[in-house]
Amino acid sequence: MSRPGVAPDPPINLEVDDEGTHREERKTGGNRSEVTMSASLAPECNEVKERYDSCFLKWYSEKYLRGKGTTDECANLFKDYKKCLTGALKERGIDKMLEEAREDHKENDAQHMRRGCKTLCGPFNSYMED
Amino acid sequence: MVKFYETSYDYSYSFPAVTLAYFLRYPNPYSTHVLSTDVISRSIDEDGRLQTMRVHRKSSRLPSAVLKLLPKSVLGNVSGGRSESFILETSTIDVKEGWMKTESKNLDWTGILSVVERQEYRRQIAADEDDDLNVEKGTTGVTTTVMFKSRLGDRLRARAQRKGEAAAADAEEEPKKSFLASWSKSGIQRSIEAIASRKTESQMGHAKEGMTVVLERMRRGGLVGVLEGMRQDRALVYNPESSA
Repeated sequence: MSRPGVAPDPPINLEVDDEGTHREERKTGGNRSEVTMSASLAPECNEVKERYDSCFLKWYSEKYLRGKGTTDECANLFKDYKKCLTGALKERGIDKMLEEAREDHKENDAQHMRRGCKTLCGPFNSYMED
Repeated sequence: MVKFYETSYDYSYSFPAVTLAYFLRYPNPYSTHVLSTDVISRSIDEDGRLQTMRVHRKSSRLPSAVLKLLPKSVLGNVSGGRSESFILETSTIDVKEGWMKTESKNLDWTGILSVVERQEYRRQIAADEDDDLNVEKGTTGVTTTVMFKSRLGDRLRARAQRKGEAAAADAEEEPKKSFLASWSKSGIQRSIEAIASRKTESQMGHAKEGMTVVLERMRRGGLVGVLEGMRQDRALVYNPESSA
């Protein structure tokens, strides 16, 4: 009964007001999570991430999707976010995993059969050896 | 050994709306296992395509069937079968041609199982779409391919084979060797792939449900509606105590 269909829904409104979602955040006060969208893996980056996400969303829906977005208008905000995130990625060893993923991409699938398993076998070496 | 899974689906929403929902799909009520999402790079290439790389952190519970198959040495960071894993997601969007291609794969645990999910979204009814991004109009088709590859089996098999060759000279084979040999023969690799495949079928359903929730919120309340829904989901996912 709550399904639409009785009256046609209005066209979707994809506009974000100039202050993005931040205005509403202030209203809700501090005891809830301060961020609306997905969280960053590093809590200390949540704020810069949210600022960047809001900027991107606005640019994406209002410009890019309308064929007008040729430059990245959120580059400065992304720089701030990236600066914060880089340390967190390093701390958690994700930067290494990303590197491996890139190398893995280059590697041919057949290569995992290769014998000298220096990097690929990792933890299995010790297990198999004893 | 590689295992494939393929499925297709049509969203009755416009292509722009679907791409937006893709970026905004976490958190949603079906994604309580997704703990965080970060953009690690984003650029527009010379063809005007938007390329994005994101890292998602997911909490995963390894199926006990898989746990039983794994050596203890690889289970160091798993307690009670609970673990975290990182997923690398890359997406390319061509808004003029009306397609989006995505790839998601696990960054860790790759020694045990590599899962690569590729999706191709395509605008179906181009004529009905216009500048107001009306989600009422348009259909967006998506084809999902999931590929599993367990390297563990390969390694064990290769190792067991070599050991087996060496042991063939000895009359008496140590029990451990024969255990390993039979272990690999029994197809640990296939077992892991089969278990992952079963899990994936249900997870792919959840992924679709999640996207649909986000799209439906968009239909009803626009972007503000999506963000409001997210706020509620977020409270549930990230701090369950405070939302109680």
